[in-house]
Amino acid sequence: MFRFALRIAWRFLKSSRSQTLLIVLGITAGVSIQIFLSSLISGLQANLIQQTVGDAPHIIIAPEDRTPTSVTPSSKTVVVSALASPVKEEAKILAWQQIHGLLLNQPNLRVASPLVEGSGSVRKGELTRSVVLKGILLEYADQIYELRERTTQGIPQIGGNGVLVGVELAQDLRLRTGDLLLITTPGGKDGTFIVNGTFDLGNKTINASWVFLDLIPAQNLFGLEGAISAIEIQIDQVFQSEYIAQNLKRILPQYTIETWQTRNRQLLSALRSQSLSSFMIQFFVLVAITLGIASVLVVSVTQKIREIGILKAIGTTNTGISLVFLIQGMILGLFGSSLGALFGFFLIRLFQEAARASGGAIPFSITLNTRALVTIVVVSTLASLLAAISPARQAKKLTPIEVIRNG
Amino acid sequence: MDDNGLVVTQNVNKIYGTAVRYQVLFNITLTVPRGQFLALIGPSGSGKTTLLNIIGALDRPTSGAVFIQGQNLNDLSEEDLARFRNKFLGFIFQFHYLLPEFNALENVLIPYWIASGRPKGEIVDRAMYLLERVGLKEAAKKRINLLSGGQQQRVAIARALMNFPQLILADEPTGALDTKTGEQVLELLAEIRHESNMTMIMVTHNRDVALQADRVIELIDGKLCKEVYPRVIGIKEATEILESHACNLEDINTPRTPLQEE
Repeated sequence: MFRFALRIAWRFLKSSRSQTLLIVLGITAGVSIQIFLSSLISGLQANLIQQTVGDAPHIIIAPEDRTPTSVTPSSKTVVVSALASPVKEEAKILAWQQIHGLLLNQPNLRVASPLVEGSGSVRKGELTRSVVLKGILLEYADQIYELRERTTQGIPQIGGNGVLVGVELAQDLRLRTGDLLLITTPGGKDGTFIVNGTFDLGNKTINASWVFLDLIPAQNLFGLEGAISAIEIQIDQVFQSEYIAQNLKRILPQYTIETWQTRNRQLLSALRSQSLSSFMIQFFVLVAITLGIASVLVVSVTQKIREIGILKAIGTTNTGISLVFLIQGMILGLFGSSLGALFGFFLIRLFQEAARASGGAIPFSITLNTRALVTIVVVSTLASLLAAISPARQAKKLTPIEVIRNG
Repeated sequence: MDDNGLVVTQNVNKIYGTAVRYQVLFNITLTVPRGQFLALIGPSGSGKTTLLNIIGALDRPTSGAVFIQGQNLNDLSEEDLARFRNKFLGFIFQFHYLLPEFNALENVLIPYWIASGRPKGEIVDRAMYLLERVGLKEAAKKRINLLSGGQQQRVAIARALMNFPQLILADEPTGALDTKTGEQVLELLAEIRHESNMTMIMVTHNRDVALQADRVIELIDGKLCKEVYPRVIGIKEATEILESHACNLEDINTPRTPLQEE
């Protein structure tokens, strides 16, 4: 019966050629826009996330009760919680080498970088600025902050008493490579350092307040004696952070483990509403496709009223005739969405070419999201099937006698 | 059940409408033996087509029953009736009712497709044979719209024969054709009937056509009125009976069970 219905359905579609062609083109347009849009949005979001957390830690391990201050300045929530629970200076990670070694053996982690962090002030001549001091091991921290690439002046070295300062800070203090700096901590300790270079991390606040120095002099400045204040981690898949953080919590229950998501709530909610609006557009495109197919098939039932009557008179069952229209819906959906997938792919290629040719004016590229593509094609085909239900029911209700009596 | 009765109708009534009730058939009781060619005649509105449609399982009686080969059609569901029509009956309508989306050969094959799907080579051979039989071998691959009215009706006859039906139901098969073409179609039907001893019920308003049948029944106002066997009593006498105004089936068409008429 299926084969029979398929044959009739195919002929019906073929016989009303322009009608079929128009609706298939309609589905093609709808589906290609869906595919292009979803790829565009996911490309855009991937780019935004890369910009936000590409050069920032994804996960921070810190001692209990110590709110890390190495946060992206945009995040207000952390400032509030930092005020709510005053920093306990004694909180520190003692046996950090052991934890660090453990972390380096974890899968999915790209880098784990020990950090000694605190506030202090720097002085050059008459000028003083309060800064955030970041004691690091360059070989690890560089994998997060890409300091080697982002050094604008001098050399990216911090061995001994060398420091790297933000470009804004350097401008404020009129620092140049080779200048000497006096750094003082709230604990009353101080030390003299040499400016090895300046960096630009692409964030004005960071560029105006951060100073990178080696881990050991930083430990001395803060009186940590071999301990550190946090471990910063980058992972391969940014959205696995919560899952990985949970695993880490199991291994390191005595520490606070914070992910980039908690520090970027606003960005995430912006991304979420962007996804939602993209989803809404796709949903209504789908509704339009479904209604289009339904209306074409409803008209087709009226056009084929005679044929339906004949087929029933010579023995086609109600199920069979319903199937004829369901299959028509499915054929339209399948053809339209496959063509749409092809055309959507073409649009994406076009965009990629444009992004390449723009020379950076379009700062991101998009890739075809295969899962989204399959989902869209499947959902569109199912929607087409759904659209055919009402026409199929209409065809089922028709009695052959009505057709034969009315000639 | 009468063993000879391929088709038996028992007290078949048909009433159309619910608010305004209009009775089209009154207590039709009739037996058609296997192999008989029965012509149903009567003025328009006499109910002859309605009776044919009820026998053909296209319509259901309001009361009463139709038995075909002993099977009470009232016991069958809509789906069963569809399968029954496909397997058991061959329809020839006044208008050809072919599917314009298919060529002549495909139209002949459709009854087979409905029942069994993809036709094997021998099935296509049968369809080709039927087309050849109706004189349209050359037109097998032609679109239906390119055929003349007579050719289309002949394709419809071939289609009706495709599934080896036991019963052919024809409703004014020559009604839409000119006299000469109509005669050819009737001749063809007669030949095929003789070859296979098929039972046929034909509705016609044409008395000359009807007189070629084994048996002629005339309906008036939904009741059986006259019955003649032209081959038994001769064309002349049969014509006289049909031309007279008196019914010869008075006893049959008087309702035996009183109807609930308004």
